[in-house]
Amino acid sequence: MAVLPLRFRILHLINQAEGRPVKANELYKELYDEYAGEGQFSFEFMEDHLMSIKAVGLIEAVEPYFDEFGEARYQYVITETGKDRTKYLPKIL
Amino acid sequence: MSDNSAQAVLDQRQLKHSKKGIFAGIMSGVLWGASGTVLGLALNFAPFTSEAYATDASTFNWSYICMMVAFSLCGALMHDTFAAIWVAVHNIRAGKFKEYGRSLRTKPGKMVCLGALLGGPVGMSGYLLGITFVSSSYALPITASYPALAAILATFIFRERNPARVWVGVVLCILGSFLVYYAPLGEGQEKDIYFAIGMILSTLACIGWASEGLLSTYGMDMLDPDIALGIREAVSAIAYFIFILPLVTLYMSKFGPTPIWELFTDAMGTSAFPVYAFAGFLGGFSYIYWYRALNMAGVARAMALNVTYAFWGVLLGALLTSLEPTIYLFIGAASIAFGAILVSINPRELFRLRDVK
Repeated sequence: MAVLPLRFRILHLINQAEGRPVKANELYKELYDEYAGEGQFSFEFMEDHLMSIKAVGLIEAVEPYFDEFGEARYQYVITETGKDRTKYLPKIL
Repeated sequence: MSDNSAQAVLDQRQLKHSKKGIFAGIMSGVLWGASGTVLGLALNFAPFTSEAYATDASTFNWSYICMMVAFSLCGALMHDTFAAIWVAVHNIRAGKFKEYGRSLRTKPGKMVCLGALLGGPVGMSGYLLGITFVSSSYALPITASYPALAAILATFIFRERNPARVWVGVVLCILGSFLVYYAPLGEGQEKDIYFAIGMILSTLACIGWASEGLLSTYGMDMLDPDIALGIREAVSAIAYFIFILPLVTLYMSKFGPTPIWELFTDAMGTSAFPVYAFAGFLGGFSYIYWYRALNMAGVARAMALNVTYAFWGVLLGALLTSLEPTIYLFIGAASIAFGAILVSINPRELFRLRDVK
């Protein structure tokens, strides 16, 4: 069951990759078990979150690629500012 | 296909996202101007026009001030309560209801709550008091100088790098506010002590909203902006019910009757009720767009776009109310709006909405 707000959980997952670029598809698969069934959860909505988190400098978009459906995607890594914000994650995580 | 072509596609997508942020900022301004005008119009409906609440305003007296405080806080309570309900409906429809609890359990969620206390009881009260004392057409431009304060704070807190153009825009906003304040009024209007009180209280809104914007944005970096707004409006409404109204009623009763609760219950069954519901709808969706813009376009730029409500407020006031705006008021409001646009538009920065060193 999901504990964190979706946007915060996305940041959390990217932080857990410890600098390895994370693909949007990977994130979606990771989040599926926790948030599937909620009206807010869709690939497009998750990408909106990613762009907003990127716009405010918490993550960085790197290594663009085309996925298996021919859609252009970014991979994401956390920034120093983003790492700093993970201090607000609940202690249980 | 190469990485370069993928990059080109993604740049286009990013530009679209940035434009959505700019659009959200403009919409927040238009809707807030409309909301302020409707809030001003609500004072023309029962129970505010009732003989029971009439006081003499010809000379300075505390009874009149107490009654105006009661009108304003009753209006603020109803506005934020309706806005909280409208936003909750919007979030439930979008399948985000569970995000309320999750967000409130995090520190960013608590920051949004703190921002709500600054933006609601401080900002909204100052704003409604301003509208009640000097009308929305004067209060709106004065409150619109809050981005000047916010831009300065954002420079230090978020390390935003603002180019000279932003600061020129901020100065224009401030000059426009001064012009509104010092400009002569229209025929039949006079600058009495209540005008000065209204202007001073309107500036209180600047402090509250600038602080709210910064705190909420910091929290929203990790939260859904629609949920952050839902929390903001609900916390503000609850704070009014539990703390602000009882304390203000208790304190102001030393000076004169301050029938906030009576007004609130009377308003439930009168024509003012749907007017406030409509104002809450406009205000709630203005906030939804504002919070989205803050998150997608950066604090200073989003606030600058939002602040064009100064112009929209005067325009709608001239169209929908009995106000006869002077040329100074229009120039002042236009100066604020132009300053805001100058702060916001820099095509080179559309791809990087918040500069972080």
